[in-house]
Amino acid sequence: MFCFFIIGILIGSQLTSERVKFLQESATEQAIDFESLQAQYLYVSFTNDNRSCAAVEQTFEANVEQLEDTRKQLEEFIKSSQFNQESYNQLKRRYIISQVRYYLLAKSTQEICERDIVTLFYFFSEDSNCSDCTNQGTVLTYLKRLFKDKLLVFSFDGTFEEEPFIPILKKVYNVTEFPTVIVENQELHGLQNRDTLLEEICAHFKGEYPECQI
Amino acid sequence: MVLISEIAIWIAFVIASYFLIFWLLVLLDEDPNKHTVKKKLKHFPLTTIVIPAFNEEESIVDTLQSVTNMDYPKKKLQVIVVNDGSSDNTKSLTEKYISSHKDYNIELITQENKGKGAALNAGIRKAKGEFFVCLDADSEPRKNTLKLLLPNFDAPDIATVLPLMKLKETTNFLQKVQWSEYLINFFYKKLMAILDCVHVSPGPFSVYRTSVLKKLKGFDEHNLTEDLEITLRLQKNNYRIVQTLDAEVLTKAPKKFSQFYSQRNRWYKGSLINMFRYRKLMFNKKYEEFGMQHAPRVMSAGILALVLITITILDLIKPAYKYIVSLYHINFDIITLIKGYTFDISFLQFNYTNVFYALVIFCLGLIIIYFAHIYTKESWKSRGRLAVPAYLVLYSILLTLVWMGIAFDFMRGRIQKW
Repeated sequence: MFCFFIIGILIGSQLTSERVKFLQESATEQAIDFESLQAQYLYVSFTNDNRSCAAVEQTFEANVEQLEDTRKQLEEFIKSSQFNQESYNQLKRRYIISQVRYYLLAKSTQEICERDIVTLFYFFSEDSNCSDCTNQGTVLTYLKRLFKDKLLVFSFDGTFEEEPFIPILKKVYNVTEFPTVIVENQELHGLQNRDTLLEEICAHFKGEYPECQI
Repeated sequence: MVLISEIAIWIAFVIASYFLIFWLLVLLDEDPNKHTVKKKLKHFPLTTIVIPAFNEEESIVDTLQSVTNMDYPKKKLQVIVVNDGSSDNTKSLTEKYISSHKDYNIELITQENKGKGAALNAGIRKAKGEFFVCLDADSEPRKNTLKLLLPNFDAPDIATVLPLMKLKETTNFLQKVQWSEYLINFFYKKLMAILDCVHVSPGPFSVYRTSVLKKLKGFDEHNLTEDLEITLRLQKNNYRIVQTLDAEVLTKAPKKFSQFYSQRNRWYKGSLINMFRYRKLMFNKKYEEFGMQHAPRVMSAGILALVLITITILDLIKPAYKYIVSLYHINFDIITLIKGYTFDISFLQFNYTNVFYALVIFCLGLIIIYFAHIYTKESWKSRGRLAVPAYLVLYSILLTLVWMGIAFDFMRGRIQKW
């Protein structure tokens, strides 16, 4: 029976290494994707020709989505693994930095490509005490699926202070509770339902969209 | 909650794997024929067969026929049918059978409905035989069952000898599942008998020493599972119980899920209540294997089942409730939410450690099923090729539903129900 336990523990350990390896590979790939995207925007800005914007924007959207998927996967792995928390934490830091990079890139290229987009920061806590975080997550998923590439959502675990960017962002946006949503520098503390956020997001669009009429 | 659930699963795995391996070791160390007495009966002791019957018009005649067909001297059989307040034709059918079999000593006692324990006690009061057989009115012994069982009383401390119960008919899936279950249960009881750890002597044709039953003042009349209670009392008084695998009795299994549910609800609830009542036997060195291993296992398995089922129910209800609440915050516009959903599954998401442990338990279970078929001399295909796979797939689901019901009954204080 002892052997079974040892085998079980070895399987658990091996699984963790495989997950870390998988996430590291994803992170490397995403870093290259980011560099490529950065170069693409630089090119557009250098040539001052915004005809390529549509294609570049599509890549941008796909990259941000992939980044969000990896983040969710990472959170799931952290929850179910007893091993190698340090590697997971390193990956989590990498992810946060990537989010900030994408946000900055989106902002700096917004004008070049004349993009009518709204950016949204979502500060959550993985803590079980944050029961509203689940509800806020559903509302944001809903809005993302509603607005698609017109809305960029960047999610941050507000309790993960191992990455120095988190305390900085929290201080800048005055985040003292979870969930907190920042829509283009507008701070919204506590759980925000669909209608409140819809109104706030739509107020920041330059154009008029049918999604805002529901 | 997650921690409690993890701990409960680990404890379940430790207990399950420990006992499965322990039983297999006992099995490998034991000569399968050691407890099967091959010698023939030298004399035929007077034996009393008591048939408690409550609304058994469909089966009482078949049961009586199987008794009178037994290969045992008529004069050495005392048959007592206790009509426990039946509202159907049980009484008239029995009377008719008695009048057509006057060469047999068959008596009919009619009483108000008082329950099986009271009916059996009424039989004990009239019993003249050295041995006392309890026979459920829906069960039928084979011709040689009694002859094979009695020689096992070869020591004064053996109070009960149990036959192998098989199902008379397996017409539907539910009965096929139970057919496999019965084989495995009786193989398991054989192992328990080797360790002197049997904790239940079921209604169909368990043979007792009448003197022991009288000494212990008969069956508990207010018990959900009087057969389990008397066995625990026998264990408490240091009597031995022998399980045989060659003497067979045929019984009927519930055809409908509702019948299966109420039968199992009563059995398992009774098992928990009686184990709690006899908790002093637990971890008591005086009762050797039974006290140190078996009683704690039965009790902990019951409690664990209740804990795991409760956790499972809460694990299902809580996220569902949370999800409905979160849908409220998007004004239940589910269509938009589903529209952009992409099904993305990674093999790395699964917890392979738990999968491995589940596989270990599954393989050990398969070995036990294999041995159960060998020892009970049944082919796994004898009741159709699907009987064993149906058992493997359906049994755990069925038991989960039963334990869910028990957990629910305990939560609302509904403890005693026949």
